[in-house]
Amino acid sequence: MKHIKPVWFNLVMAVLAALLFAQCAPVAPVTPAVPTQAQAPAVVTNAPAPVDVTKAPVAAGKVKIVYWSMFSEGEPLMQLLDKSTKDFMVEYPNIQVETKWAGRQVLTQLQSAIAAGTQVDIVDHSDDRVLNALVKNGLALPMDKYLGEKAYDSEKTWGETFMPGVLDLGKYQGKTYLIPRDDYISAFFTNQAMLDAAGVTPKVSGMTWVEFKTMLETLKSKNPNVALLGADGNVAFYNNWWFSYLAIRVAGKDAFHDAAFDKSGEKWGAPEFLQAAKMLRELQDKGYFQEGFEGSVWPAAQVKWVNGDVAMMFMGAWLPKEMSAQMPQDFKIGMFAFPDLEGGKGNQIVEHWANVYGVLASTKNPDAVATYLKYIMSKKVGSEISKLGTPIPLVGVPVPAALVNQYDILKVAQAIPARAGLNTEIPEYMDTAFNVCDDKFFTKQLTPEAFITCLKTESKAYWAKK
Amino acid sequence: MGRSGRQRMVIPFLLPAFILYTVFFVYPAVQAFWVSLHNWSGFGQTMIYIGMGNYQEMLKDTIFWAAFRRTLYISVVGGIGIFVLALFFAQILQRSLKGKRFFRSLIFFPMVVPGIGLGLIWQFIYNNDWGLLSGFLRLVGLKSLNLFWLAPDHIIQSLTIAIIWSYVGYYMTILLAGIDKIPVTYFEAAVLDGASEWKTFFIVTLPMIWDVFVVALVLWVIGSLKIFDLIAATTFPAPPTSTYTLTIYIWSQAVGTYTPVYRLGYATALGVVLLIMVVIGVGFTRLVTRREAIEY
Repeated sequence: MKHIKPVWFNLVMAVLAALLFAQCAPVAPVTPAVPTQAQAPAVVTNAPAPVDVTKAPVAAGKVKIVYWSMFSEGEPLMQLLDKSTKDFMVEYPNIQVETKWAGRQVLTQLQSAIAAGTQVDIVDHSDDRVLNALVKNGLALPMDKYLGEKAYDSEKTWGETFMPGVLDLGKYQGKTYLIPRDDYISAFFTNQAMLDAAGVTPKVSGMTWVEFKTMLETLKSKNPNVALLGADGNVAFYNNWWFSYLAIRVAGKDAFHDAAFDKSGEKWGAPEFLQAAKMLRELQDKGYFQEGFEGSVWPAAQVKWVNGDVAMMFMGAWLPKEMSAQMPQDFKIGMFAFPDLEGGKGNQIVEHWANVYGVLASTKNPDAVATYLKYIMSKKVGSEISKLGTPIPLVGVPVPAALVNQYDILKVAQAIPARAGLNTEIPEYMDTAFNVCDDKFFTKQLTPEAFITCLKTESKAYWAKK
Repeated sequence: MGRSGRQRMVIPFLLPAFILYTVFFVYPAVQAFWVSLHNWSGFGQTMIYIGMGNYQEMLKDTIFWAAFRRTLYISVVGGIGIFVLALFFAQILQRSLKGKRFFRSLIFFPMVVPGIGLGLIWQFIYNNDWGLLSGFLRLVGLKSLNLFWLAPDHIIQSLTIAIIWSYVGYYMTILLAGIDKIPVTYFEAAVLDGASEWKTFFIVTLPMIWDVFVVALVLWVIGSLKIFDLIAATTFPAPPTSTYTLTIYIWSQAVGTYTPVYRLGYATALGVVLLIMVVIGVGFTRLVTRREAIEY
């Protein structure tokens, strides 16, 4: 067989290689180093410049805004938001809202959209996700100006229609970027009938650890075949609630926060953290968690809870809504805050977070976007959302029956972001250092002492590579 | 046609494929390598060039190495399980059996179910309360063998079994196609010479389907290193770190799971390493399986 002359091949390859490297070369000139970001000397490169590919025609005088949603087609909240958006467009005929029901991977899709220059004005997801994806990357629009304007269906400013403190969830470096839509705390959710039958009435707030353990013992004696605590061990985000809450209760939130930022990892060696770990292990050793929780895959434990095989779950306040389809009609839900500790440095602290709207700074129609969001976050629409069992942080909007205690807890407790803010501030640390140890500890692969050693080692290793 | 004329003819025929391959494979691969040299969240236009920083970090990343080991475990142990069973079933189903087509279809069936569906099926099978496996063990009085299948101590082994079950039909079908092409006279000659079933398999069947076997093995090496959907679905919504293979780790770093980690630069570097692993894996497989082809 004859071969092509090498010169032809070489020529074609050279041209292609030149084209490839030309394509891959930095678009903008290289700028000075950012020393804190990398191991190697760092320079800033611009990704390819965006191209606006959104060419959908809009009637003259009408502005179009694009909302990419965390909800998928068919979800109850999607249906309500879709209807509300259509109502909005009737009321504001000069604004066209284009919606994309992208589902929970909406931010992944947004990565591509931003790279392609596709117009997206609004996205929603949990506050920590939107903050890390948009706000920290300088892609979000501050909303302070609009929060100071009149609300849709109130004489108050838009900001004043929100429950006190909830707008803090969307603040970053002094500006409010995120608009909370539905807010949640983490708490114990009980099978109320089971507790009533056992003659147990937990305090909504301020129960002590001793009272909590006494309650568990009482329940155990009355319901020997029921697991007292449910947990799906495959979800690290749920597992690490237990140690985080206990560590914050014992050592205080600042100590917990500081330990994570300690580059030597040694701060995890404080006796308070070992004490917290031992308190959790005690609950596990006494068999309070359901058998096999280590291998339980979500939502198996939650199903057991609604089936009456588990007395209570420690979970985000989305639990009642999440399980509503599987719940027997007469299922009564109780709710109480994580217990306090005698002499604890972090009592009366509760995690509080929200699903939020973030507005992209690239929006060409910020006023129209704000008008739309004011409408969606109005008493009128909020009341409809609340009827679905979703808690809305607006003053005067009814609270879903199962979550009345959420706002009672928030009245007396200091609200903090998830894991004292670590999930938002250093998510990579939480994912690749903290959770690695916590998962092993929660699933009983490590003793409390080995867990503390693991935290020290992994923290040191994490910060060493940064 | 002269030599130069033939050369001119070859180029237009090769060029479309060459351009397509370059645009859709070489260019993205080079672009991916370029991205892997940056610290980039995936959001925004700013990528920070860090040279080999992501690769240096990988060397010290214990999660990466654990994921690497799990990926190799699935590839090697899963591969042994799949090919032993696939050869066994292929050997049995090549005969004139009643219901042969039915059994072939039955064993192949998992391949027509999407990986997500298979993951959910296995999530139910491994459930300790109402799952099929635990229920069966309790039924036959082997409760002591009932483990927490998806607990960190056993989850990779459990997932490997699920993977073997899912893929054995596919490779059996490939091997059967090879066996079906062997002239029946070779088997008859072996029988006349007094060869046992076992010996016939090793001296007739396996050598004569060796090229098919190698192709199947290469396909498995490529596929096994990239398995994602079955693991993600079995452990949905948040695969624990004890199940991280390279693909799951790439996913968690690129788009975050429950924790909002957005490190597309690092995830792309992991992807580049996965690509290199695939190339090395295929090369190694070709090397150790090299032997002269038997023509018949």
